[in-house]
Amino acid sequence: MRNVRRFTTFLAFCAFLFAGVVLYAGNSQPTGFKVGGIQVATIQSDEISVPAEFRVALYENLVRQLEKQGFEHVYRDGDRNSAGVPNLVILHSTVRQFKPGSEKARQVTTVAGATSIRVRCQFTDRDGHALLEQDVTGKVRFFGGNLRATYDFAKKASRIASEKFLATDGK
Amino acid sequence: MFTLGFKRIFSGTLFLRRCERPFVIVNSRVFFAGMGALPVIGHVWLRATSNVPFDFNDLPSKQLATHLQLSMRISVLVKPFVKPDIRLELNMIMKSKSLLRTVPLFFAVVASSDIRAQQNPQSVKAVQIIGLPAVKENAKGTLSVENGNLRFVHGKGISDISTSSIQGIVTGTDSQKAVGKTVGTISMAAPYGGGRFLSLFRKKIDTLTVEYRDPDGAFHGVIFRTPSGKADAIQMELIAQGAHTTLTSEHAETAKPSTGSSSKEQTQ
Repeated sequence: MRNVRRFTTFLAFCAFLFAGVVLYAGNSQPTGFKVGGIQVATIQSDEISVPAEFRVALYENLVRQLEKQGFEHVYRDGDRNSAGVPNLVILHSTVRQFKPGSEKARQVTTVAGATSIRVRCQFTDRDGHALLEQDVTGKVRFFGGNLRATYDFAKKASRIASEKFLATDGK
Repeated sequence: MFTLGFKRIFSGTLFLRRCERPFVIVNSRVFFAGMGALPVIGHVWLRATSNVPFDFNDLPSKQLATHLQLSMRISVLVKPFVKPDIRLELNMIMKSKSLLRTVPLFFAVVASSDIRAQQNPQSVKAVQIIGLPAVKENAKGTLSVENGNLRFVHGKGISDISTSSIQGIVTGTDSQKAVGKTVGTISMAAPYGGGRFLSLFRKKIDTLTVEYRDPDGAFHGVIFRTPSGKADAIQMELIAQGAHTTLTSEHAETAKPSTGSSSKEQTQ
């Protein structure tokens, strides 16, 4: 009797795991949108005061990470070369939450002083239709300067972008 | 015979009260021949024992002393008084000469530094954290404002940003560990929290954030880290040379990113 109950529990766990994997795979599947290039708009932080160096670091890290992920054409905000690119994806980023943290506190206490930044990433086409919208968080908990949080964010955001758009980038 | 160590002897003839008085200047002291005990410049009294007219011109010091009949006896008598005084006098001469040399030298240095400042604007050691195309992150170099360009000279070349393309300049303050990277990393393994203790020692730095657009209109941002107090000067220089900025210094505006003890969370 006990064995049957254990087996049932095990089956339920497996089913739950399988469902999770299927859902995750469905989420990470490409959108089917054939991307001609991606343009990174400047980082917006209208309602939250974010230091300029963070905004710039977010932007620059994002551009670099997208290039690293394999996007052939990564256009910057205002780039005239992006004018004639078909199927251009524009990445709009808005800072939703910012915790400056303290590098000193991290180094001295290890547990305190974490820097975190949460950014709403919105991928749209040229007409402004949303293709994907997701919050991405960048953190630095233990080692590194505060700006490393922007690197963490950029890495995560670019990974999401490559998973969603790069598979059908016509490569 | 003349052992007082006189180095400079000038001689000549002076007409005093219709009398021809030969004189000799030894180390800027004047001695008249045959005038007995004569107070001369300073505190030394020297007696010349003869008033025989001498031809002092172009005589070496030893010969001159012989002509003046400055005997060994006199010199010995005078020596205890003369020698320290001469030293003192020489010191004074040297001091005055060095002062005379120093003052023009000082003005020359000031003038040359002024000229240099006008010709070569101040350059500041800086670290490019991120942003310059084709420059590695954390590249060390020199930052200066020259001929309408923000110039970053690093190991592998020169990067210029035209001041007319700059749209925003922001300076901020930050701090970093005073102990270097390698030592700092090794110190983390130190027992009893030695590494953490070292982390308390920090040096102030400035950050300079520049936002600009390239010829294609593409937006770029660069972050530099400079020694404390240097970023503002660069910012002023950039604005003076035509950089546009709508952004101001963060010194008073925003919380210090890494030194700020308050970790206030801002949520939309």
